[in-house]
Amino acid sequence: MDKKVVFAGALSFISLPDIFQTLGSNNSTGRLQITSQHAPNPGVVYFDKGEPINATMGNTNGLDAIYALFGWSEGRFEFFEEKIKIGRVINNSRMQIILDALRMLDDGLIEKIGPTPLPGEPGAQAAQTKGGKSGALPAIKGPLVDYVYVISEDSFFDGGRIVKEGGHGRWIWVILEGMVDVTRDTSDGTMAVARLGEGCFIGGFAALLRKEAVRTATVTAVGDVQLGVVDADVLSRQYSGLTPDFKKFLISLDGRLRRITDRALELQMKKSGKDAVPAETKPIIKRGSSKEELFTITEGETYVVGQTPKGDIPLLTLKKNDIFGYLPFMDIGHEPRFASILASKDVQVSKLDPETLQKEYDQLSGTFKNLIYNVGSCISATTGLACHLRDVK
Amino acid sequence: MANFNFKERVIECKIVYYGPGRCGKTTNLEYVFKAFKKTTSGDMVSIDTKGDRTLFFDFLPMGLGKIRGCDVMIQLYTVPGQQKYSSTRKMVLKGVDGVVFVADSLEVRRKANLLSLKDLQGNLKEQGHSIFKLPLIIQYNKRDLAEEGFPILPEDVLERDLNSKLKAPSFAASAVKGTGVWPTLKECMKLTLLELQKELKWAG
Repeated sequence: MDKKVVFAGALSFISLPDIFQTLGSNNSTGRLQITSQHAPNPGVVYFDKGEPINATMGNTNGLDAIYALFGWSEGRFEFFEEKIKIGRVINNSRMQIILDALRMLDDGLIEKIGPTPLPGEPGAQAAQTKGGKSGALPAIKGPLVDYVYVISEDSFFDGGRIVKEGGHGRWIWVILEGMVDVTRDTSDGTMAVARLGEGCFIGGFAALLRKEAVRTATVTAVGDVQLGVVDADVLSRQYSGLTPDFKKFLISLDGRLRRITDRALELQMKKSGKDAVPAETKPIIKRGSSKEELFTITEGETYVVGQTPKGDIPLLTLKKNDIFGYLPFMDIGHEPRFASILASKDVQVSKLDPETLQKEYDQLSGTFKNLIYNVGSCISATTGLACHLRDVK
Repeated sequence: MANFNFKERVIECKIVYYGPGRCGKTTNLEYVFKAFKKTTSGDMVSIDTKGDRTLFFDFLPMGLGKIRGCDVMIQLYTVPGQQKYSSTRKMVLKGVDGVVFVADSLEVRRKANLLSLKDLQGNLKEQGHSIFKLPLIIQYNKRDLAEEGFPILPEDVLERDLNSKLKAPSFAASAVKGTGVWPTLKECMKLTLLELQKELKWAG
């Protein structure tokens, strides 16, 4: 069968209206497939000479399926150039569909499916202030739960403590229903770090790395919560089969989450010691850069510097063996799109190949991918929190 | 920047009509669509966005000539002004090549014009465009209402209000009657194509 991917990418980079217009102006015939970690089924749109003629998404098809897909802000798309055998059920023109769908999206008639907005993206501020009267943080959305490695379920009632900071344990849970609050004990009392929603994980890579991991935060149920216990042994085995570079990447990612959390707490306690961008540095990656380069630090330090409407904000410091640059399969709200990298004078780096990491990532199990994705969303949400705290200070 | 479709040898330019609610953006486009039915390709798409309709159609104007052997197709859009239609606005203004700002001549709409122009500036900035650099035409619409006894602003007042800094070419019009509609669009297409040629030379 004549079947090949001729056009593919990330929805966060090329939006669905743009994809429709590109396929339209090329008079393309074939099948557009869209997958998202936030939706159980992929969406498929069939094009005949540039016009969408049919679509499916879960149980819906035709126009309704296309409209639903316009609510997806994140995912991957692939266009297969092939002969279309499915019948035409859509007679609206491409542009009619695009404009109608966007209008419905703005009118709130299409459900938005995707991650919590990244700092600097439209909607990020709204999400940040949506905490409401209680001052609670907006819940971070996790990816769609992969039940393959869920070995049993646990229930916690409102206020129940799931994990205690400083305690030992290497269980990993995934939130099946409800929300939890993540807090840290500081000299100024207990402080909120994040609120996690369905699909998020409790317990990070640290639980996979060591036999005995110390919990870095306390996790408490908000309302009644249903958790799935994830088979950590299987994940540990998958972890040990990874290449040294990929392990390095995971450890560095975990470190980033820890450090950005420290930074957010520091800002919450109104300690602004590190608020100045370090002097004597040279920029290596400029914010907004589209270079697809990935590095690991062999000597010296680099600094991740974000930006808010009130100016630059140093987010965290990266050290030897940390990884920075373009990550093909995730967006953590840092460099290269939303933050710059400054380097100390003595810095030495070596290049990594993003494609090699991507290939290894593609081989991972769904749960492992979700775990990585979750750390990324937490980094991005906590970065948003840090920026927000700095600006209201 | 215009879209080059080398397969079809067509350059697609995007011209967007912007202005306060009920200023006559859609009337402008409807007039063009009817008057040039033969040179439009496909149907006019009309979406009911509250307060305003969003319109779109492709337009292959005669006599525009070719750029580097490619035909020039103009995509004409109106954009819903209401705050909440941000997705639509973003899509419509993305890659815009030229803008027609339609101002309402009615005295009571004086403030609405100013607000909408400011809004346009902000929305263009979001897309990385400067209102001072993008090909822009201003149209003072509803001039005919004076005959019916409605209080309208004199052209020099509108000019001072809206165009003292921009210094864009401006036209008086009555979109309902069709006067001024074509000169406005023609001038906008001219500026857009000149700009495009400039960019191509720079790139080439």
